[in-house]
Amino acid sequence: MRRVAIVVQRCDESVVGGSEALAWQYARLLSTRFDVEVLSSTATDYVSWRDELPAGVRVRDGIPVRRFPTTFERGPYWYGLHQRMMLEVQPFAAPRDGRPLAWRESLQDEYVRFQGPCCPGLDDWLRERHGEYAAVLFCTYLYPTTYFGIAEVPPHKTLLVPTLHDEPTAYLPVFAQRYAAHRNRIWLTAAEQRTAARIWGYGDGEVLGMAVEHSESATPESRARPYLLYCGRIEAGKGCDELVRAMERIADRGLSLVLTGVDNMGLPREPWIEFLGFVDERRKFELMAGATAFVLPSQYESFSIVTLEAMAQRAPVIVNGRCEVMREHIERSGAGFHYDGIDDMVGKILLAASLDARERARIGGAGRDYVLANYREERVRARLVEQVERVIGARAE
Amino acid sequence: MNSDRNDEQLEQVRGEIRAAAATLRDRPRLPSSAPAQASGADGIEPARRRYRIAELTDPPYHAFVEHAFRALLKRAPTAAEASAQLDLLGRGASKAEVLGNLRWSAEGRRQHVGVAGLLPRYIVAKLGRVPLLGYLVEWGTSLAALPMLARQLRAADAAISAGDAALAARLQPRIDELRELVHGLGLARDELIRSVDTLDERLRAHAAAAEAVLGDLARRQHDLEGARKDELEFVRRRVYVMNRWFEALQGALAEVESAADRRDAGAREFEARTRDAIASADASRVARLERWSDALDPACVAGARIVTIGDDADWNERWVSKGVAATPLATPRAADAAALRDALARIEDGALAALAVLAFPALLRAMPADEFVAAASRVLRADGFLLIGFAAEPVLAATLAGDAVPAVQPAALATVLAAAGYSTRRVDAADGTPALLASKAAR
Amino acid sequence: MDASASSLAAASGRLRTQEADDALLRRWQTRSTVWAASCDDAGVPLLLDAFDACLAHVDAAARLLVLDHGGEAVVAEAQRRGVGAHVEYVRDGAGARKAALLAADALVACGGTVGTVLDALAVGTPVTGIDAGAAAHVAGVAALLWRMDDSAAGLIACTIERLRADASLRSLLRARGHARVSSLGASSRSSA
Repeated sequence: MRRVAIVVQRCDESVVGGSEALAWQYARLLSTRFDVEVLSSTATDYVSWRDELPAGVRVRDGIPVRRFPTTFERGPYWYGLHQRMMLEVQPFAAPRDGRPLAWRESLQDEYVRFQGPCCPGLDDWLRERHGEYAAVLFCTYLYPTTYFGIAEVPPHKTLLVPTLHDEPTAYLPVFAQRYAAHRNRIWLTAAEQRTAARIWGYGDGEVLGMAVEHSESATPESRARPYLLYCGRIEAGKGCDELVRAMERIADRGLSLVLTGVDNMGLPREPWIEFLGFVDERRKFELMAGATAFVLPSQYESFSIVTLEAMAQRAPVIVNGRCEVMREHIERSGAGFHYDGIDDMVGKILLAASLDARERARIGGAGRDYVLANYREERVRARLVEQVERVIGARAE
Repeated sequence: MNSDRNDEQLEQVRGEIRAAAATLRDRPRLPSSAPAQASGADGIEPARRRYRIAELTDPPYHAFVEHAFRALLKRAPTAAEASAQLDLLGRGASKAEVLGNLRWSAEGRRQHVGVAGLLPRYIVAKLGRVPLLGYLVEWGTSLAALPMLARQLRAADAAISAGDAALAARLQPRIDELRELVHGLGLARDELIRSVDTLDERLRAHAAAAEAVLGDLARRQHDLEGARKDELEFVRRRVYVMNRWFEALQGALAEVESAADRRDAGAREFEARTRDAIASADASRVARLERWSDALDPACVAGARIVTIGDDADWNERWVSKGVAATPLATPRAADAAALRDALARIEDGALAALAVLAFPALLRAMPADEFVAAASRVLRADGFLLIGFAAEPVLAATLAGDAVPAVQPAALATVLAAAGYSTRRVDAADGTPALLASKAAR
Repeated sequence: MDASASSLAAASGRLRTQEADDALLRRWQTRSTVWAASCDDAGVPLLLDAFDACLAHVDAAARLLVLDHGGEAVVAEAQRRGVGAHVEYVRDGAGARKAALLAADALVACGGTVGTVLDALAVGTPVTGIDAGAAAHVAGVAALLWRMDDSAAGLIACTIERLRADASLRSLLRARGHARVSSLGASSRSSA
């Protein structure tokens, strides 16, 4: 059977992360047709990229995962670069006077490398062994695993899944330069594709998305006190601080906030906040099915599978309208509300809380229909296989 | 294959570089300069005076603040300044507002960096944050001018952006003035907000003091409540007692009144009975009434009206049989003054052909002569007659019933009538009972 | 020589994971022209002729950062020529060397050392200079080199000017440099 490699920055059961989940799903979907191997780092912590897991091959659910050690942890050096990059690169990303950036490409490489996970072993592996794979799929544009790894594989054999967000780092010109030659691309949403066209200057490729688990929960959570649900990494960068602030304002309305996932932010101790930690899928779906609304306050999302899962469980969803991808999900599905700013967020939460049963059912139904029409596993698998077959069939120019 | 193409590309580049190098020495010699400082890396472009607003607002959060300081103030922010601005953003301020605050700060005005399109956004942002209605009302007039200013400035900014240097030069002083004005208004507004805040503080202090006083009062009220209840009970009992006393008094008075009424009714009855008895015994009465009715005949034709004060049923029947509308009014006792006045007042002006009083002295118990004469003058027609008899029986009956009837001489009454414009003549009855017939018409 | 180049390439590969001196990086990193250079004694006049040409006709605010032991001689000659303010000697220290390479538009090799050229290729800094000596040999097609003759100074100045303006040229040289270091490093690994 033909071998297909999937490169992703982290791969482990303990990892919570959108693009990691995506890579694993694609690995699973492709494994019925190809001999899939996941190439990844030994890190599980996406902040430090500490070398944690054993290097080498482990089999996860029948799929081999080959991990390469990370050579260093992210440190003050990178944070210093990051602060300057935020300041200096984006405002001048398109220099007006034709002069180059003060950030030469070598320094941009340095920034990407020290962001982590830096796995020279992976680059060496790809350089020396890419011939053994019929195609190599790279997941997430941002990390060195993709940025340096993809340079070691002939462009006609690569399939890039950028999971691009409109974030400052995306404006580093080296990303656009490096990925320009790698034309086989999979975008999760049309909004992501447009973002790429805007920031990188090209957006060709297929909009494919991700399969969403849609089996309905048999036992929706039932509580006396209505609750808002958030699932995922709990951190300010995901907008969770804003969510807590919004809920604080309406703490007297009898609504509680239930959060699952990893708390990297330090949630305040409030009677109306309930942090459940990591819960399994079944429990997550029960919570979704019983929630007054599912909230996703993050401004930087390239797909948000968890929101689509909530839609599949018929939960009305409330998303940050400043995130184009999420706004598009809402506008196309009619499955809830998007807001602009914290005042509007409070308003939309109260609006969702005031829905009567019939209206809630209508909105929930719209969300479920949207997920079934676009993100059913069979549909995504067929289209993904088609893309990989196309890459395999292509020849070097 | 790829490598070959790259080699070709590289060969072409080499050719182009050779061509450039061949003419390098022909290029003008650059004026010498110090080596570039790390200003580019720090994002400061000291010479740059104009920015597009999007350049400044595009960077996210932290980078936005850092860049804004470098662009508008030509320096990096201190940690405290950066965190203050981030805090402002965190509290919902727009980027335009942060930029405006920097641009129109004292330092920003010194730097005088132009940002096309910032001012209107800044004004809108500032207006959006006006916190107090009171302030709005007070400053409504000043602020009403702002949209106009904004329009002018937008227009000016647009013109300048379009690169019309001459126009820009002409407009610039005006724009600066307007900006100063807007800034001044902003400062005034800030000052006002501060004053309002102070006032608010004071009001809060007053409210707190008042609350304390009220609390004290409440405590005292609580302390006094028991005593006060006793007092109230005492007063309530007193009121009940007084109430009962008043009721008793009312009862007594009613009793007195009804006794008086009974006595009055008795007196009236006695008077009427006595009068009727005397009259029936009076043989000359018919001749007397005849005489007096004859005297009135010229005026009292059929359809005319006559009012008689006196209790003489036969007198009235006499007139009715002649087709005259005759109205009797009972001989009034002293207590009937009001009723008599009321009865006379109900007669229209100039309605009567004749007004007759058969026992004038008895009338005087209820009404003095001048009042009666004045009333008569009003109700009598111009050719009407006033008949005033001095019949003895009612007077006698009244006297017998205990009522004092004043004595009055016809001559004295004639004087009063003359003074009122009447001419009078005696129409005494055959039995000698005097009577006066008075009229105003000259005959 | 190939064996030593291989071990040097492996060392240069490791430079990738060496932190640059951030203070120096901030000082040198500007939007104006920055040259890093490696030269031997014979290369000093050419290097300064080329840099003079750059200051006179391309970028008067340019800066020259000289790595390796030739640096003192270059600084002395630059002072004699009156452009001393623009020239700096980057003494030993991997962090400083890396900072210079990351801040520079290109490394100019006039003679110079194999290690420095490989370092530049490893971190992705384009290499230009004179096609002579071991340094030139080790760079191979990854560098844009010129014959040592009268026009060389102007050619080097114009090459850096072109590099600053041409992203695809930079991209090509960077990719070739990376491949060069990788292949040398790989032969080092396999021989080990």
